Amino acid sequence: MRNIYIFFQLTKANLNALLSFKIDFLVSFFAGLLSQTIGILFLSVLFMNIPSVADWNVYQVGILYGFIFFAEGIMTLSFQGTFGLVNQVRSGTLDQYLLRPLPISTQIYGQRTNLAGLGTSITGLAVITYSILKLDMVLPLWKINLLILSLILGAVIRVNINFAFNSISLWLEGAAGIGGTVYSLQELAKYPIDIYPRAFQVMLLTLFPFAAISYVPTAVILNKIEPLFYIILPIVTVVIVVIRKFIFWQALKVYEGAGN
Amino acid sequence: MKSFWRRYAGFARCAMEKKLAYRNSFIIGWMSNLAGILVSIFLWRVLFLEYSSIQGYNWDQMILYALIVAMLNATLSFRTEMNLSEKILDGSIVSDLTKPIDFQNMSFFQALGESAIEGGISICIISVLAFLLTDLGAYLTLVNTLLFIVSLILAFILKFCLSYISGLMCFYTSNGYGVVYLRQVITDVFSGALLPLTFFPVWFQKLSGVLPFQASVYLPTQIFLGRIGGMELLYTLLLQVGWVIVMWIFAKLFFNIAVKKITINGG
Repeated sequence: MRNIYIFFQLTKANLNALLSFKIDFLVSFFAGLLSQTIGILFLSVLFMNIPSVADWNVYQVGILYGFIFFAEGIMTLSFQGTFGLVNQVRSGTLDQYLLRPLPISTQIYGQRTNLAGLGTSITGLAVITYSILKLDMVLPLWKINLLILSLILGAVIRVNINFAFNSISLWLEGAAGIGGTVYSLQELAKYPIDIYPRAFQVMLLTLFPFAAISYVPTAVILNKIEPLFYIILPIVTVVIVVIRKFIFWQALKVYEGAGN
Repeated sequence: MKSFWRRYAGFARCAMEKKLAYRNSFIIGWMSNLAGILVSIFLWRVLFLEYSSIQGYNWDQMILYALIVAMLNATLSFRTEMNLSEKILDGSIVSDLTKPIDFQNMSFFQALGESAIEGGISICIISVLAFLLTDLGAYLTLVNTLLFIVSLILAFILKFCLSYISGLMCFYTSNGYGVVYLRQVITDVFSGALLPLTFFPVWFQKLSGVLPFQASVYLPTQIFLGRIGGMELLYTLLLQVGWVIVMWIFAKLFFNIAVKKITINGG
């Protein structure tokens, strides 16, 4: 509880700083909205020319997009500190965190707030809602609850994937760009994983579990796979959180600081 | 003429050396591009199992199209463009303005130097992929390749002009990131980088036909794929030359107006 309180205090301070530059505040919000238009445009223009991809129509793929957008938006909005871990080492901010009597991961989480993420998340929610309306589906209550739960777990998974892989680059100095490369792999999860070879499918559900954010909940909601498969989502969430904690502590153990 | 080269080639060489020093980060950056390329390869593979051609593109042509776009996108990258906006925003442009050189020429040669490295690495990766995935040899006839190279060079100069102009916008706004982002969305859509322009509705094709962006991506791909022939080929190259001249002059005029807006705090 105390961690959550500290996190919100940090976020509040970040927001105060952001609000003092009002135009930039708006520009980054709209940049967040805009940043996803390319993906949505690609999707809609492609589907003007073909009816479906692996039996998924445009609105069904749209839901996949929406889940990925939402999780990415939450990460950008509140947890961008996990992305800048390497920079924090170089600039020495990490040493500062280590000296404070506060949990380190909470400080890293609350390090930066970026309103572009709010725009991205709203786009994600809008795309999911629009797609479901267009699909003319009546969702029973359990599916609506499942959808909300999936959005939350998806965001947790997304933040922890990011944190885990950026911790690795803290550990192995040569791997500074690995976070960005892993980040780009989420592109693969914007489409039904049926289109990939089996090895890729397994990889997207385990090592880089982006498909757990988008494909698993969407396919369950659309009755494309058995509801039982939904169990993957909580399992992945727990495992990635545990692994992330382990990697981060290992990384901190070998961490030597950048300065004198 | 000789002194012109001596004066500006140095900027290109400097930029090249700088890029080479950070080649690892560029190569790691390229791995991120690969994810996007992978998605489109698998997406098209599934689609071409079902259809033999989509909008007149077969598998080979579609993949080559996607690969050429990826190569063009990785050359003259986001970084090159951000350099200019950062120079304007942090005021270091002043030291360039005091030099007895033309700012646009200097920026062009710096971009050329960086892009030589970026383009070289990109061409290697893309060629390997193209060779593995498609019947590349069939497209590599002598005339076709030469025309493609000419078209690529024109596309590069045009691409430079477009990003230079968007960089100059930073004289008016302090949010360089936003401007560059907006420029990227516009060019991605209108240049054909997203999908071949024939995939779009007719009204959109007409609109992009009168804008300069298609000359920076779409036209070179069409030449390489041999989808343009005879007199139309000549017309296409002339159109590219025309846009290069227009945008180069426009950039020059725009710079002269924008530079008056310069406000630098302190010193």
